[in-house]
Amino acid sequence: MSILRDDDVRFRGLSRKIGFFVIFAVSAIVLTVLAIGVKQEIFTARTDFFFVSENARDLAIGTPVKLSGFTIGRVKKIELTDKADVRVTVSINNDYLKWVREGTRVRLLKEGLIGNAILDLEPGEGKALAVNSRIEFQRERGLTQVVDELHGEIVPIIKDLKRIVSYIENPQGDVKQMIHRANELFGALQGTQKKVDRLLDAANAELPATLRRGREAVEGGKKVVDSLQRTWPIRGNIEPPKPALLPMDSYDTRPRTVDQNGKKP
Amino acid sequence: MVVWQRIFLALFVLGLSACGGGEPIKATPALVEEAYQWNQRAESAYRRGDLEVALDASRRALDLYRSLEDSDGVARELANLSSIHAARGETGQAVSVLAPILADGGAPFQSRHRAEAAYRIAVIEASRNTASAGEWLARAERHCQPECDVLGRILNLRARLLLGGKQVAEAQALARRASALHEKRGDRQEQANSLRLLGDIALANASPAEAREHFHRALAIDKDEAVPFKIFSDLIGIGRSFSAEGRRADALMHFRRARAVAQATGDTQGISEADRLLTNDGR
Repeated sequence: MSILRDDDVRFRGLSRKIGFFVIFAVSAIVLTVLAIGVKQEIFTARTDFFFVSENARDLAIGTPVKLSGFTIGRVKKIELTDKADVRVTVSINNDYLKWVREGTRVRLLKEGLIGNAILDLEPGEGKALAVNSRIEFQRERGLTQVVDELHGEIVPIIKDLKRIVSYIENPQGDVKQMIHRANELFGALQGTQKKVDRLLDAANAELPATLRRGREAVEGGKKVVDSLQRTWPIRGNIEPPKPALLPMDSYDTRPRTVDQNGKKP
Repeated sequence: MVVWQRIFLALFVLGLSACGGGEPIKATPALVEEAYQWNQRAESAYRRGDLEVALDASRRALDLYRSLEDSDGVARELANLSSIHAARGETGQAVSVLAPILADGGAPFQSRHRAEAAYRIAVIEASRNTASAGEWLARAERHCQPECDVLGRILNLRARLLLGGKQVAEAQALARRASALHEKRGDRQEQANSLRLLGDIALANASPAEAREHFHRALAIDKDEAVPFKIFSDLIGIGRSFSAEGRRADALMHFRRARAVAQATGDTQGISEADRLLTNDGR
Protein backbone atom coordinates (compact mmCIF):
# COMPACT_ATOMS: atom_id res chain seq x y z
CA MET A 1 0.00 0.00 0.00
CA SER A 2 1.37 3.36 -0.87
CA ILE A 3 1.88 6.05 1.74
CA LEU A 4 1.34 8.83 -0.72
CA ARG A 5 -1.13 8.88 -3.37
CA ASP A 6 0.28 8.14 -6.80
CA ASP A 7 -2.20 10.26 -8.49
CA ASP A 8 -0.77 13.64 -7.10
CA VAL A 9 0.10 15.63 -10.18
CA ARG A 10 3.25 17.15 -8.55
CA PHE A 11 4.87 13.74 -8.41
CA ARG A 12 4.27 12.84 -11.95
CA GLY A 13 7.67 12.34 -13.79
CA LEU A 14 9.59 12.81 -10.53
CA SER A 15 12.22 10.21 -11.40
CA ARG A 16 12.94 11.93 -14.67
CA LYS A 17 13.23 15.32 -13.01
CA ILE A 18 15.66 13.98 -10.40
CA GLY A 19 17.69 12.39 -13.17
CA PHE A 20 17.95 15.70 -15.05
CA PHE A 21 18.94 17.53 -11.86
CA VAL A 22 21.72 15.04 -11.04
CA ILE A 23 23.05 15.15 -14.60
CA PHE A 24 23.04 18.99 -14.56
CA ALA A 25 24.79 19.14 -11.15
CA VAL A 26 27.45 16.61 -12.12
CA SER A 27 28.02 18.46 -15.41
CA ALA A 28 28.39 21.77 -13.55
CA ILE A 29 30.92 20.25 -11.14
CA VAL A 30 32.90 18.72 -14.01
CA LEU A 31 32.93 21.98 -15.93
CA THR A 32 34.03 23.90 -12.86
CA VAL A 33 36.87 21.46 -12.27
CA LEU A 34 37.85 21.70 -15.93
CA ALA A 35 37.79 25.50 -15.83
CA ILE A 36 39.98 25.52 -12.72
CA GLY A 37 42.32 23.02 -14.36
CA VAL A 38 42.60 25.15 -17.48
CA LYS A 39 43.13 28.23 -15.36
CA GLN A 40 45.84 26.44 -13.39
CA GLU A 41 47.40 25.20 -16.61
CA ILE A 42 46.98 21.65 -15.39
CA PHE A 43 46.26 20.52 -18.87
CA THR A 44 49.08 22.53 -20.47
CA ALA A 45 51.92 20.43 -21.86
CA ARG A 46 55.20 21.24 -20.06
CA THR A 47 58.83 20.22 -20.20
CA ASP A 48 61.07 20.00 -17.16
CA PHE A 49 64.54 21.42 -16.78
CA PHE A 50 66.63 21.91 -13.69
CA PHE A 51 69.25 24.12 -12.18
CA VAL A 52 71.39 23.89 -9.06
CA SER A 53 71.62 26.58 -6.42
CA GLU A 54 73.79 26.87 -3.31
CA ASN A 55 70.68 27.34 -1.20
CA ALA A 56 66.93 27.59 -1.46
CA ARG A 57 66.60 31.10 -0.19
CA ASP A 58 63.76 32.96 -1.97
CA LEU A 59 62.96 29.83 -3.98
CA ALA A 60 59.65 28.04 -3.54
CA ILE A 61 57.47 25.63 -5.46
CA GLY A 62 55.36 27.68 -7.81
CA THR A 63 57.88 30.52 -8.15
CA PRO A 64 57.17 31.85 -11.64
CA VAL A 65 59.69 31.63 -14.46
CA LYS A 66 59.35 34.74 -16.63
CA LEU A 67 60.60 35.75 -20.01
CA SER A 68 60.41 39.44 -20.85
CA GLY A 69 57.77 39.79 -18.11
CA PHE A 70 55.59 36.88 -19.34
CA THR A 71 55.19 33.82 -17.14
CA ILE A 72 56.37 30.82 -19.15
CA GLY A 73 56.75 28.28 -16.39
CA ARG A 74 57.06 27.63 -12.68
CA VAL A 75 59.23 25.90 -10.13
CA LYS A 76 58.00 22.38 -9.90
CA LYS A 77 60.23 20.76 -7.35
CA ILE A 78 62.95 21.68 -4.90
CA GLU A 79 65.18 19.00 -3.41
CA LEU A 80 68.53 18.66 -1.67
CA THR A 81 71.31 16.87 -3.49
CA ASP A 82 73.94 14.58 -2.01
CA LYS A 83 76.36 17.53 -1.97
CA ALA A 84 73.91 19.61 0.08
CA ASP A 85 73.18 21.81 -2.92
CA VAL A 86 69.63 22.49 -3.97
CA ARG A 87 68.30 21.04 -7.19
CA VAL A 88 65.40 23.04 -8.54
CA THR A 89 63.17 21.62 -11.25
CA VAL A 90 61.29 24.11 -13.41
CA SER A 91 58.47 23.31 -15.79
CA ILE A 92 58.36 25.39 -18.94
CA ASN A 93 55.27 25.55 -21.12
CA ASN A 94 55.99 23.81 -24.38
CA ASP A 95 54.79 26.89 -26.27
CA TYR A 96 57.91 28.70 -25.07
CA LEU A 97 60.46 25.95 -25.52
CA LYS A 98 61.89 27.66 -28.59
CA TRP A 99 63.66 30.11 -26.26
CA VAL A 100 65.12 27.44 -24.02
CA ARG A 101 68.32 26.59 -25.82
CA GLU A 102 71.98 26.04 -25.02
CA GLY A 103 73.28 29.11 -23.20
CA THR A 104 69.94 29.78 -21.54
CA ARG A 105 70.31 31.23 -18.06
CA VAL A 106 67.87 31.94 -15.25
CA ARG A 107 68.43 34.70 -12.69
CA LEU A 108 66.69 34.81 -9.33
CA LEU A 109 65.64 38.36 -8.64
CA LYS A 110 62.96 40.38 -6.91
CA GLU A 111 60.18 42.25 -8.65
CA GLY A 112 61.08 45.67 -7.29
CA LEU A 113 63.20 46.18 -4.22
CA ILE A 114 61.02 44.17 -1.87
CA GLY A 115 58.72 42.33 -4.33
CA ASN A 116 58.21 38.62 -4.87
CA ALA A 117 61.03 36.46 -6.09
CA ILE A 118 60.90 35.43 -9.73
CA LEU A 119 63.15 33.49 -12.04
CA ASP A 120 63.99 35.59 -15.06
CA LEU A 121 64.94 33.55 -18.10
CA GLU A 122 67.54 34.84 -20.54
CA PRO A 123 67.17 32.94 -23.85
CA GLY A 124 70.09 31.04 -25.30
CA GLU A 125 71.16 30.93 -28.91
CA GLY A 126 72.44 27.38 -29.25
CA LYS A 127 70.65 24.13 -30.00
CA ALA A 128 67.35 23.27 -28.32
CA LEU A 129 67.84 21.72 -24.89
CA ALA A 130 66.70 18.15 -24.21
CA VAL A 131 64.17 17.37 -21.52
CA ASN A 132 65.58 17.55 -17.98
CA SER A 133 68.70 19.33 -19.11
CA ARG A 134 70.59 21.59 -16.72
CA ILE A 135 70.42 25.33 -17.25
CA GLU A 136 72.68 28.00 -15.75
CA PHE A 137 71.53 29.79 -12.65
CA GLN A 138 72.55 33.10 -11.17
CA ARG A 139 71.33 34.70 -8.00
CA GLU A 140 71.04 38.50 -8.27
CA ARG A 141 72.10 40.54 -5.28
CA GLY A 142 69.11 41.38 -3.20
CA LEU A 143 68.55 44.38 -0.99
CA THR A 144 69.85 42.47 2.02
CA GLN A 145 73.06 41.58 0.26
CA VAL A 146 73.59 45.15 -0.92
CA VAL A 147 73.04 46.42 2.61
CA ASP A 148 75.46 43.82 3.94
CA GLU A 149 78.13 44.88 1.45
CA LEU A 150 77.61 48.56 2.24
CA HIS A 151 77.80 47.77 5.91
CA GLY A 152 81.09 45.95 5.37
CA GLU A 153 82.53 48.98 3.58
CA ILE A 154 81.12 51.75 5.74
CA VAL A 155 82.08 50.30 9.10
CA PRO A 156 85.88 50.60 8.52
CA ILE A 157 85.38 54.19 7.26
CA ILE A 158 83.45 55.10 10.38
CA LYS A 159 86.17 53.53 12.52
CA ASP A 160 88.83 55.59 10.66
CA LEU A 161 86.79 58.77 11.09
CA LYS A 162 86.48 58.11 14.80
CA ARG A 163 90.24 57.61 15.05
CA ILE A 164 90.94 60.83 13.08
CA VAL A 165 88.53 62.85 15.19
CA SER A 166 90.06 61.56 18.40
CA TYR A 167 93.53 62.37 16.99
CA ILE A 168 92.44 65.92 16.14
CA GLU A 169 90.72 66.38 19.48
CA ASN A 170 93.75 65.22 21.45
CA PRO A 171 95.02 68.36 23.29
CA GLN A 172 98.58 67.09 23.11
CA GLY A 173 98.26 66.06 19.44
CA ASP A 174 100.00 67.73 16.55
CA VAL A 175 96.84 69.36 15.15
CA LYS A 176 95.84 71.05 18.38
CA GLN A 177 99.43 72.16 18.94
CA MET A 178 99.62 73.49 15.40
CA ILE A 179 96.40 75.47 15.74
CA HIS A 180 97.64 76.84 19.05
CA ARG A 181 100.92 77.96 17.50
CA ALA A 182 99.13 79.42 14.46
CA ASN A 183 96.98 81.49 16.83
CA GLU A 184 100.10 82.75 18.58
CA LEU A 185 101.68 83.52 15.20
CA PHE A 186 98.65 85.46 13.98
CA GLY A 187 98.69 87.43 17.21
CA ALA A 188 102.34 88.28 16.66
CA LEU A 189 101.65 89.15 13.01
CA GLN A 190 99.05 91.68 14.04
CA GLY A 191 101.70 93.41 16.15
CA THR A 192 104.14 93.26 13.22
CA GLN A 193 101.52 94.67 10.87
CA LYS A 194 100.99 97.65 13.18
CA LYS A 195 104.73 98.28 13.24
CA VAL A 196 104.92 98.04 9.44
CA ASP A 197 101.99 100.43 9.11
CA ARG A 198 103.77 102.91 11.37
CA LEU A 199 106.95 102.52 9.32
CA LEU A 200 105.05 103.08 6.07
CA ASP A 201 103.38 106.14 7.49
CA ALA A 202 106.76 107.49 8.48
CA ALA A 203 108.20 106.57 5.09
CA ASN A 204 105.31 108.29 3.29
CA ALA A 205 106.15 111.43 5.15
CA GLU A 206 109.90 111.24 4.61
CA LEU A 207 110.35 109.37 1.33
CA PRO A 208 109.70 112.25 -1.09
CA ALA A 209 112.15 114.43 0.73
CA THR A 210 114.67 111.59 0.82
CA LEU A 211 114.24 110.97 -2.89
CA ARG A 212 114.63 114.64 -3.62
CA ARG A 213 117.79 114.76 -1.56
CA GLY A 214 119.03 111.61 -3.32
CA ARG A 215 118.40 113.16 -6.72
CA GLU A 216 120.16 116.31 -5.64
CA ALA A 217 123.08 114.23 -4.38
CA VAL A 218 123.27 112.35 -7.69
CA GLU A 219 123.12 115.55 -9.68
CA GLY A 220 125.77 117.06 -7.43
CA GLY A 221 127.90 113.93 -7.87
CA LYS A 222 127.47 114.16 -11.63
CA LYS A 223 128.64 117.77 -11.58
CA VAL A 224 131.66 116.75 -9.50
CA VAL A 225 132.45 113.92 -11.94
CA ASP A 226 131.98 116.29 -14.89
CA SER A 227 134.35 118.75 -13.22
CA LEU A 228 136.88 116.02 -12.61
CA GLN A 229 136.58 114.89 -16.22
CA ARG A 230 137.58 118.38 -17.30
CA THR A 231 140.39 118.62 -14.78
CA TRP A 232 143.96 118.12 -15.83
CA PRO A 233 145.42 115.49 -15.82
CA ILE A 234 142.24 113.36 -15.55
CA ARG A 235 140.62 114.75 -18.71
CA GLY A 236 143.47 113.37 -20.76
CA ASN A 237 142.67 109.83 -19.65
CA ILE A 238 138.92 109.80 -20.21
CA GLU A 239 137.56 109.10 -23.63
CA PRO A 240 134.21 110.71 -24.38
CA PRO A 241 131.51 108.13 -25.16
CA LYS A 242 131.38 107.48 -28.91
CA PRO A 243 128.36 106.16 -30.73
CA ALA A 244 128.95 102.70 -32.17
CA LEU A 245 129.56 102.01 -35.85
CA LEU A 246 128.48 98.47 -36.71
CA PRO A 247 131.21 96.60 -38.56
CA MET A 248 131.19 95.55 -42.20
CA ASP A 249 133.96 93.01 -42.34
CA SER A 250 136.02 92.76 -45.54
CA TYR A 251 135.90 88.96 -45.32
CA ASP A 252 132.13 88.84 -44.94
CA THR A 253 131.52 88.41 -48.66
CA ARG A 254 129.70 85.10 -48.50
CA PRO A 255 125.99 84.99 -49.33
CA ARG A 256 124.33 86.09 -46.15
CA THR A 257 122.93 82.97 -44.56
CA VAL A 258 124.52 83.90 -41.23
CA ASP A 259 125.35 87.23 -39.67
CA GLN A 260 128.73 88.41 -38.50
CA ASN A 261 128.32 86.65 -35.17
CA GLY A 262 127.63 83.37 -36.84
CA LYS A 263 123.92 83.61 -36.09
CA LYS A 264 121.16 83.15 -38.62
CA PRO A 265 119.54 86.47 -39.50
CA MET B 1 155.66 124.67 10.01
CA VAL B 2 158.70 126.24 8.47
CA VAL B 3 158.47 128.97 5.89
CA TRP B 4 159.42 126.87 2.87
CA GLN B 5 156.74 124.36 3.77
CA ARG B 6 154.11 127.14 3.84
CA ILE B 7 155.30 128.43 0.48
CA PHE B 8 155.09 124.90 -0.97
CA LEU B 9 151.57 124.41 0.41
CA ALA B 10 150.43 127.72 -1.01
CA LEU B 11 151.84 126.87 -4.42
CA PHE B 12 150.24 123.41 -4.30
CA VAL B 13 146.80 124.89 -3.51
CA LEU B 14 147.26 127.47 -6.24
CA GLY B 15 148.17 124.71 -8.66
CA LEU B 16 145.11 122.68 -7.75
CA SER B 17 142.80 125.64 -8.25
CA ALA B 18 144.37 126.22 -11.64
CA CYS B 19 143.75 122.62 -12.58
CA GLY B 20 140.05 122.94 -11.73
CA GLY B 21 139.65 126.05 -13.74
CA GLY B 22 139.18 124.40 -17.09
CA GLU B 23 136.41 125.04 -19.50
CA PRO B 24 132.99 125.48 -17.86
CA ILE B 25 130.85 122.41 -17.32
CA LYS B 26 128.73 121.80 -20.38
CA ALA B 27 125.95 119.22 -20.17
CA THR B 28 125.31 116.95 -23.16
CA PRO B 29 122.11 118.13 -24.90
CA ALA B 30 119.17 115.85 -24.16
CA LEU B 31 118.53 114.93 -27.81
CA VAL B 32 122.17 114.05 -28.41
CA GLU B 33 122.09 111.91 -25.29
CA GLU B 34 118.87 110.24 -26.48
CA ALA B 35 120.32 109.56 -29.95
CA TYR B 36 123.39 108.04 -28.29
CA GLN B 37 121.16 105.80 -26.16
CA TRP B 38 119.28 104.54 -29.26
CA ASN B 39 122.59 103.93 -31.01
CA GLN B 40 123.80 101.86 -28.06
CA ARG B 41 120.56 99.87 -27.98
CA ALA B 42 120.85 99.15 -31.69
CA GLU B 43 124.41 97.96 -31.29
CA SER B 44 123.69 95.66 -28.33
CA ALA B 45 120.61 94.22 -30.10
CA TYR B 46 122.71 93.58 -33.23
CA ARG B 47 125.41 91.86 -31.17
CA ARG B 48 122.92 89.49 -29.59
CA GLY B 49 121.24 88.81 -32.96
CA ASP B 50 117.96 90.63 -32.23
CA LEU B 51 117.91 92.33 -35.61
CA GLU B 52 114.31 93.56 -35.43
CA VAL B 53 115.02 95.57 -32.28
CA ALA B 54 118.35 96.73 -33.74
CA LEU B 55 116.59 98.01 -36.87
CA ASP B 56 114.00 99.96 -34.89
CA ALA B 57 116.56 101.47 -32.49
CA SER B 58 118.90 102.47 -35.32
CA ARG B 59 116.04 104.19 -37.20
CA ARG B 60 115.15 106.17 -34.07
CA ALA B 61 118.77 107.23 -33.65
CA LEU B 62 118.89 108.22 -37.35
CA ASP B 63 115.76 110.38 -37.00
CA LEU B 64 117.28 112.16 -34.03
CA TYR B 65 120.61 112.78 -35.79
CA ARG B 66 118.72 114.06 -38.84
CA SER B 67 116.72 116.43 -36.64
CA LEU B 68 120.03 117.80 -35.35
CA GLU B 69 121.60 117.86 -38.84
CA ASP B 70 124.50 115.89 -37.42
CA SER B 71 126.16 114.55 -40.59
CA ASP B 72 128.53 112.33 -38.61
CA GLY B 73 125.60 110.79 -36.74
CA VAL B 74 123.47 110.43 -39.89
CA ALA B 75 126.31 108.75 -41.85
CA ARG B 76 127.02 106.42 -38.93
CA GLU B 77 123.37 105.38 -38.51
CA LEU B 78 122.91 104.85 -42.26
CA ALA B 79 125.97 102.59 -42.20
CA ASN B 80 124.53 100.77 -39.17
CA LEU B 81 121.18 100.35 -40.91
CA SER B 82 123.04 98.91 -43.90
CA SER B 83 124.81 96.37 -41.67
CA ILE B 84 121.52 95.36 -40.04
CA HIS B 85 119.73 94.97 -43.39
CA ALA B 86 122.68 92.93 -44.69
CA ALA B 87 122.54 90.68 -41.64
CA ARG B 88 118.81 90.21 -42.30
CA GLY B 89 119.62 89.12 -45.83
CA GLU B 90 118.04 92.29 -47.28
CA THR B 91 120.96 93.15 -49.55
CA GLY B 92 118.92 95.48 -51.77
CA GLN B 93 117.94 97.66 -48.82
CA ALA B 94 121.44 97.36 -47.39
CA VAL B 95 122.74 99.06 -50.55
CA SER B 96 119.94 101.58 -51.09
CA VAL B 97 120.07 102.88 -47.53
CA LEU B 98 123.63 104.11 -48.19
CA ALA B 99 122.69 106.02 -51.36
CA PRO B 100 122.07 109.40 -49.60
CA ILE B 101 125.69 109.47 -48.43
CA LEU B 102 127.01 109.04 -51.96
CA ALA B 103 124.46 111.27 -53.68
CA ASP B 104 125.81 114.53 -55.11
CA GLY B 105 124.37 117.75 -53.72
CA GLY B 106 122.88 116.08 -50.70
CA ALA B 107 123.75 116.54 -47.09
CA PRO B 108 127.32 117.69 -46.46
CA PHE B 109 128.90 114.30 -45.97
CA GLN B 110 132.67 114.10 -45.83
CA SER B 111 134.96 111.96 -47.97
CA ARG B 112 135.54 109.47 -45.15
CA HIS B 113 131.73 108.96 -44.95
CA ARG B 114 131.56 108.38 -48.70
CA ALA B 115 134.57 106.02 -48.60
CA GLU B 116 132.91 103.99 -45.84
CA ALA B 117 129.59 103.86 -47.71
CA ALA B 118 131.19 102.85 -51.03
CA TYR B 119 133.29 100.20 -49.29
CA ARG B 120 130.20 98.73 -47.58
CA ILE B 121 128.35 98.52 -50.90
CA ALA B 122 131.43 96.81 -52.41
CA VAL B 123 131.36 94.20 -49.62
CA ILE B 124 127.68 93.49 -50.24
CA GLU B 125 128.16 93.35 -54.01
CA ALA B 126 131.17 91.01 -53.67
CA SER B 127 128.83 88.19 -52.69
CA ARG B 128 126.76 88.53 -55.89
CA ASN B 129 128.56 90.60 -58.54
CA THR B 130 132.34 90.91 -58.36
CA ALA B 131 132.53 93.38 -61.26
CA SER B 132 130.14 95.73 -59.51
CA ALA B 133 132.05 95.20 -56.27
CA GLY B 134 135.24 96.25 -58.05
CA GLU B 135 133.61 99.45 -59.29
CA TRP B 136 132.34 100.38 -55.83
CA LEU B 137 135.74 99.57 -54.40
CA ALA B 138 137.37 101.92 -56.91
CA ARG B 139 134.91 104.62 -55.83
CA ALA B 140 135.78 103.98 -52.18
CA GLU B 141 139.47 104.28 -53.03
CA ARG B 142 138.85 107.64 -54.72
CA HIS B 143 137.18 108.97 -51.57
CA CYS B 144 139.99 107.57 -49.45
CA GLN B 145 142.85 109.72 -50.73
CA PRO B 146 145.48 109.78 -49.47
CA GLU B 147 144.39 107.59 -46.58
CA CYS B 148 141.35 106.89 -44.44
CA ASP B 149 140.09 104.60 -41.67
CA VAL B 150 138.68 102.14 -44.14
CA LEU B 151 141.82 101.83 -46.28
CA GLY B 152 143.00 98.53 -44.79
CA ARG B 153 139.60 96.92 -45.38
CA ILE B 154 139.54 98.27 -48.94
CA LEU B 155 142.95 96.67 -49.55
CA ASN B 156 141.78 93.34 -48.11
CA LEU B 157 138.67 93.28 -50.27
CA ARG B 158 140.58 94.37 -53.37
CA ALA B 159 143.14 91.60 -52.77
CA ARG B 160 140.36 89.04 -52.40
CA LEU B 161 138.75 90.16 -55.68
CA LEU B 162 142.14 89.97 -57.44
CA LEU B 163 142.71 86.47 -56.09
CA GLY B 164 139.29 85.51 -57.39
CA GLY B 165 140.41 86.83 -60.79
CA LYS B 166 143.62 84.70 -60.64
CA GLN B 167 145.82 87.80 -60.26
CA VAL B 168 147.74 86.13 -57.46
CA ALA B 169 150.85 88.31 -57.36
CA GLU B 170 148.85 91.57 -57.22
CA ALA B 171 146.59 90.08 -54.57
CA GLN B 172 149.59 89.03 -52.49
CA ALA B 173 151.12 92.51 -52.59
CA LEU B 174 147.88 94.16 -51.47
CA ALA B 175 147.26 91.57 -48.76
CA ARG B 176 150.74 92.06 -47.33
CA ARG B 177 150.24 95.84 -47.35
CA ALA B 178 146.87 95.45 -45.66
CA SER B 179 148.27 93.09 -43.04
CA ALA B 180 151.03 95.51 -42.12
CA LEU B 181 148.54 98.39 -41.95
CA HIS B 182 146.15 96.48 -39.66
CA GLU B 183 148.98 95.34 -37.43
CA LYS B 184 150.08 98.98 -37.11
CA ARG B 185 146.52 100.18 -36.34
CA GLY B 186 145.76 97.27 -34.01
CA ASP B 187 142.71 96.12 -36.00
CA ARG B 188 142.98 92.43 -35.13
CA GLN B 189 139.92 91.19 -37.00
CA GLU B 190 141.03 92.74 -40.26
CA GLN B 191 144.60 91.55 -39.63
CA ALA B 192 143.22 88.01 -39.36
CA ASN B 193 141.38 88.61 -42.63
CA SER B 194 144.68 89.63 -44.27
CA LEU B 195 146.41 86.53 -42.88
CA ARG B 196 143.63 84.25 -44.10
CA LEU B 197 143.89 85.90 -47.49
CA LEU B 198 147.65 85.36 -47.51
CA GLY B 199 146.96 81.71 -46.66
CA ASP B 200 144.64 81.37 -49.63
CA ILE B 201 147.24 83.09 -51.84
CA ALA B 202 149.97 80.72 -50.61
CA LEU B 203 147.72 77.77 -51.47
CA ALA B 204 147.24 79.24 -54.92
CA ASN B 205 151.06 79.47 -55.16
CA ALA B 206 151.32 75.80 -54.14
CA SER B 207 153.02 76.64 -50.82
CA PRO B 208 150.91 74.67 -48.34
CA ALA B 209 153.32 74.98 -45.40
CA GLU B 210 153.37 78.77 -45.71
CA ALA B 211 149.59 78.80 -46.13
CA ARG B 212 149.18 76.74 -42.97
CA GLU B 213 151.33 79.20 -41.04
CA HIS B 214 149.09 82.12 -42.12
CA PHE B 215 145.91 80.17 -41.33
CA HIS B 216 147.17 79.21 -37.87
CA ARG B 217 147.94 82.86 -37.06
CA ALA B 218 144.52 83.89 -38.34
CA LEU B 219 142.87 81.09 -36.32
CA ALA B 220 144.54 82.26 -33.11
CA ILE B 221 143.22 85.81 -33.62
CA ASP B 222 139.76 84.64 -34.66
CA LYS B 223 139.48 82.47 -31.56
CA ASP B 224 140.49 85.45 -29.42
CA GLU B 225 137.87 87.56 -31.17
CA ALA B 226 135.35 84.69 -31.05
CA VAL B 227 134.07 84.82 -34.65
CA PRO B 228 132.75 81.34 -35.54
CA PHE B 229 132.45 81.67 -39.32
CA LYS B 230 136.04 82.86 -39.57
CA ILE B 231 137.24 80.02 -37.32
CA PHE B 232 135.43 77.74 -39.77
CA SER B 233 137.30 79.29 -42.72
CA ASP B 234 140.68 79.03 -40.96
CA LEU B 235 140.11 75.34 -40.21
CA ILE B 236 139.06 74.68 -43.79
CA GLY B 237 142.21 76.49 -44.99
CA ILE B 238 144.45 74.40 -42.72
CA GLY B 239 142.69 71.24 -43.91
CA ARG B 240 143.23 72.20 -47.55
CA SER B 241 146.94 72.87 -46.87
CA PHE B 242 147.29 69.35 -45.43
CA SER B 243 145.32 67.96 -48.34
CA ALA B 244 147.69 69.70 -50.78
CA GLU B 245 150.58 67.87 -49.08
CA GLY B 246 148.74 64.55 -49.32
CA ARG B 247 148.28 64.32 -45.53
CA ARG B 248 144.78 62.97 -45.76
CA ALA B 249 144.19 62.15 -42.09
CA ASP B 250 145.25 65.62 -40.90
CA ALA B 251 143.12 67.23 -43.60
CA LEU B 252 140.03 65.22 -42.69
CA MET B 253 140.48 66.00 -39.01
CA HIS B 254 140.45 69.76 -39.73
CA PHE B 255 137.47 69.47 -42.07
CA ARG B 256 135.58 67.63 -39.29
CA ARG B 257 136.48 70.36 -36.82
CA ALA B 258 135.25 72.97 -39.29
CA ARG B 259 132.02 71.04 -39.78
CA ALA B 260 131.43 70.94 -36.04
CA VAL B 261 131.86 74.73 -35.86
CA ALA B 262 129.41 75.26 -38.73
CA GLN B 263 126.92 72.84 -37.20
CA ALA B 264 127.09 74.60 -33.84
CA THR B 265 126.15 77.92 -35.45
CA GLY B 266 123.54 76.48 -37.79
CA ASP B 267 125.59 77.54 -40.84
CA THR B 268 124.06 75.24 -43.46
CA GLN B 269 126.29 76.55 -46.22
CA GLY B 270 129.38 75.82 -44.10
CA ILE B 271 128.11 72.32 -43.30
CA SER B 272 127.64 71.58 -47.00
CA GLU B 273 131.10 72.87 -47.82
CA ALA B 274 132.72 70.76 -45.08
CA ASP B 275 130.75 67.69 -46.18
CA ARG B 276 131.88 68.18 -49.75
CA LEU B 277 135.53 68.45 -48.69
CA LEU B 278 135.21 65.41 -46.42
CA THR B 279 133.75 63.39 -49.28
CA ASN B 280 136.28 64.51 -51.90
CA ASP B 281 139.39 64.50 -49.67
CA GLY B 282 139.75 68.28 -49.74
CA ARG B 283 139.32 68.78 -53.48
